[in-house]
Amino acid sequence: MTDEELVLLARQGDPDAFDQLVVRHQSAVYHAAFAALRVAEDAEEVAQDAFVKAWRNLGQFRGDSSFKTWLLTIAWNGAMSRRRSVAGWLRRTVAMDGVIEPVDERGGQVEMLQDGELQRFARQAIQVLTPKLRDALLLAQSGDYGYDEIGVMLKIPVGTVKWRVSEARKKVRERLAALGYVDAR
Amino acid sequence: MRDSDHAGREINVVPGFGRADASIDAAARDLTRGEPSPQLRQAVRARIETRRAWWVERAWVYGFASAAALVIVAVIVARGLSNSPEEPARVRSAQVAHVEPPRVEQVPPPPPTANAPRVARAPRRQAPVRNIEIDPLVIEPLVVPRLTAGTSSGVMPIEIDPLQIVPLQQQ
Repeated sequence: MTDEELVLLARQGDPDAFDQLVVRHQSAVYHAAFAALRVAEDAEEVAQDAFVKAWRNLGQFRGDSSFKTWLLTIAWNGAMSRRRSVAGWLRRTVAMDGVIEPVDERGGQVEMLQDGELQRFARQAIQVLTPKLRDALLLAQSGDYGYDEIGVMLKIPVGTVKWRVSEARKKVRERLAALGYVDAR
Repeated sequence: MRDSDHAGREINVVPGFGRADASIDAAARDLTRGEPSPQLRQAVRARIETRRAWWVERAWVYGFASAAALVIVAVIVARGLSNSPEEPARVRSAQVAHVEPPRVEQVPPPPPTANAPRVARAPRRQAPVRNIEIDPLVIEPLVVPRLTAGTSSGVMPIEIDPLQIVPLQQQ
């Protein structure tokens, strides 16, 4: 059964149909919220709120976009609201990893960087990106969304999404290169 | 791989961007990794059911409230009609229903003239004229006690000498 058919049933008050929609899209909704908030509890609450809000506003879903895109937009807007709150900002700040250390302050460790270690530094470099670049990169790399869906969620054209993803990668590479972790040549 | 930066410091170098890009991709996926808890589905279901129950309760409440409001409005309207000034006249007319109202002869409209606008007008409905007998007004004269001035209050009259004007030629 397609999403649209389930939406029709849910509109008629069938909670089981909506339950199936929740099962289908809970991962995508959660990943979007987690990408924005980086705190599991906040992402879970935002995902819940998004589904409840979608249920309440099913009558307003006109089918201009897919149900998934509509749902993701609701979730992303909720995540943005929470991100702007002071309490959410404090929790994310505590949840962030430590700062990136330059190579020469790491006790002369000269071994070849292991993949896991490089990922850790790349992760830290991603976290200090501007929110616009970081959001685009994380959503694109999560594998749950296409560029068009990301464009709708972020309210920007697809071309801008691609540019932001490319720019984010470039910034992370530059940062790793400046710290001496990758060859910048 | 070992190399040195511009300052001659020994650094760890990852050759090429390929591995760096792979690391960036993996790091980005890691930042969005994680699955929602199994309770998410149940929590959403519970909240929806609660909300539906809330709506059902509210529907009953709203139903009763609107019915009560209708009853109140109906009572107010009925009282307003019963207290309206036309009601006694209706009662009286009902009591004297055997009296035929005077006939009003309808005057035919004047024939249209050449200068008259060609606007078709609906004939006016003339209200039935009632013969009302009214007693003539009797105006009673007001009885006002007459004020009499007593003795003077003792104010001294002011005497003013006539003004004398001196001609200018004498100065």
